[in-house]
Amino acid sequence: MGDTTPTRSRILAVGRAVPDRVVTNEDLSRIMDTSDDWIEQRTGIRQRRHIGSDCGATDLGRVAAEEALRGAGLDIGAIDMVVFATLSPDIDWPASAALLAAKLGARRVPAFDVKNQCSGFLYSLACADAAIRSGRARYVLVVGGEIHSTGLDLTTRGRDVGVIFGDGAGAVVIGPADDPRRGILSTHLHAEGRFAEKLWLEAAASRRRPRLRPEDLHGDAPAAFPQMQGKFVFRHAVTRFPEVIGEALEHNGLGLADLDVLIPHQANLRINQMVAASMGIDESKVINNIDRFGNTTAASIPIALHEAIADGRVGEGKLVCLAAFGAGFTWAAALMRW
Amino acid sequence: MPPEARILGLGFCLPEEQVANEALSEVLGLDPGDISARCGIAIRHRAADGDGPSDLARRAADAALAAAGMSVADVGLIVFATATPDVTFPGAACYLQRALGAPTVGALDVRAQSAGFVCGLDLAGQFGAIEAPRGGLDPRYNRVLVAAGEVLTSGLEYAPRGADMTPRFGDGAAVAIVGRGDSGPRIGPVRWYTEGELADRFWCEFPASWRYPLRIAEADFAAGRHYPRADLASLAPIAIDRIAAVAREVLDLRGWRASDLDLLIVDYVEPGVAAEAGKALGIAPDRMRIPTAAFGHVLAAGLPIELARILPSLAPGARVLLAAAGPGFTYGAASLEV
Repeated sequence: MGDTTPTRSRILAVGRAVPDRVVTNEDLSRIMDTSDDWIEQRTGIRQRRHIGSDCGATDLGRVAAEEALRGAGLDIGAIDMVVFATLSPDIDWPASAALLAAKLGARRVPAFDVKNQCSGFLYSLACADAAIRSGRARYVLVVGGEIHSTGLDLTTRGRDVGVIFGDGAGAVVIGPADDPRRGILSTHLHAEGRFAEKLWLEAAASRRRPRLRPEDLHGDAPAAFPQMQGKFVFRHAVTRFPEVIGEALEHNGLGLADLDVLIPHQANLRINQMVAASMGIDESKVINNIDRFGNTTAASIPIALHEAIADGRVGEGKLVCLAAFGAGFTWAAALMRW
Repeated sequence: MPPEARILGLGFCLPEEQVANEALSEVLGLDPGDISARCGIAIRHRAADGDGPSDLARRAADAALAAAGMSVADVGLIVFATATPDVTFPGAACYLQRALGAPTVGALDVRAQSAGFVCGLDLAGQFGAIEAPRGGLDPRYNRVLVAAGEVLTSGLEYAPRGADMTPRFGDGAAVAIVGRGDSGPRIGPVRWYTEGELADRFWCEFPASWRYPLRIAEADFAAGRHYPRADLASLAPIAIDRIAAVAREVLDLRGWRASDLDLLIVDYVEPGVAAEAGKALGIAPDRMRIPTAAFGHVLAAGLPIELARILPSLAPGARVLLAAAGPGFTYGAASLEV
């Protein structure tokens, strides 16, 4: 912990990890009634990665975190706090953050999971930003990681959800922004629980007795697999994205013309295209990679950010907005000067 | 330094149904006296079928908001600490927001097991310290609702194989409204830590997303891998040491000695271990409360439930220390001045 409280935090470095195994739409069409055209037209997804043997979200998270730590030039011993965003934790409890901290060799740190679905990475980033701004921490590791594939119904019955999700992890190291012009300007968190069941995974459900049973793996809409009303979610997403992006800009006295890069959560390419079109944001400013990774939920933004840094679209001085919408409903934005 | 936050209102909910050892003895194959000798617990509370942690927290929140003289419209962020969410996703915070009819503010779901409430206080303090772009504190986080709630009894094994773990847990929730104000317990420094290398000594392993190709299968149910398990004998000396250490750290930060304390609340799954930790700190039994002894272990919610029960009887200026340890292995402490 530093002697002086910084006014801002900054993403110092990014890492990512995805499984080697590529699952194309063609591959899926061999195990369920679907097609490359059907999936691509509705979602923009052409392939995703799935694990092919035992592997936890924190196993991918560890690789991503180690890359981010190297990029920041920091040893794990410098990290004051570990935040892990996931809706597919390695185990039921304790938090996967505890497992990740142990894998990285962090001996004694506050480590907690954030379960905010597609907005999980941004909710976690907001926690890290608050910890650094308040002087509670100097360096925070935030990792978003998901192993969806072991919890998907990859049959014709589950195809509406099953084709969308991919496995992956992304990590960022956040620290004090020494240059006062740079860093995270603000974060914006929202939720609307009244639509919880429009995109959800019911079982295990503590409100039900017993919370989990073998029958949850069977039936017409098995409770142990995620269920989604896609059109309903789509409609809300294309409303809430522009709202929260606008809110973040306005909060800082900035406008759309100031925005250099938008990195939206990768849930559906058609959502992101509609958001860009409705806001009048040139598509060249919008980062999309869902065609190759599917929806990796809490990992999608750091994975996309990693690519955008590598190819130069995100660089020093750029005004970057990260935004997400998804299950909860939850939605969020973070605006930063890179 | 972040400005000082207070608990402006506090409420709790222990479900109406109490389960005595007599009611568990037959199904667990133990004498009632054996249960009480093994786990040091006489009764625990059980939520009604259909009630999740958000339903219990809703009742606690009504009391907390009334105590704070506030309406739900004043809340700028909801933080919910639980290891047993209502459904797998979205999190309990979204469900609580819906139940309260709260505005579309952030609903952050965190997982820090028995240190969940301490983590929630920590986060509320950090968000409360964020500065607005044009100076002054960001008014969005003037009032943070911190909920901790668990429904554990729907995930326990009611058969002789569960004899060692099942009687130890109960259900309940508590809510604190955290913000700056003129009255209510002042929150001092908060510290908490995780030692993830001990995670598999006290855990609920399944569903486990790491397991390929399905995160839970029929064989896991048969093996009971979806129920809590623990090696409590090996954890006992570690728990005593860590609780005492983090309690001393927080006392030092606050500038208090253990002998200054009017009340120590120690939460751990084994009441005897909690008592030993208090003894290690030199606190006499009449200045100590052990939530687990009163209503079983409720992970994140034990500390705030016990605090809410005893707060009305504490004199202004009373010095209180909260300390807890549990799965993770996660432990933490917070100081309060009433």
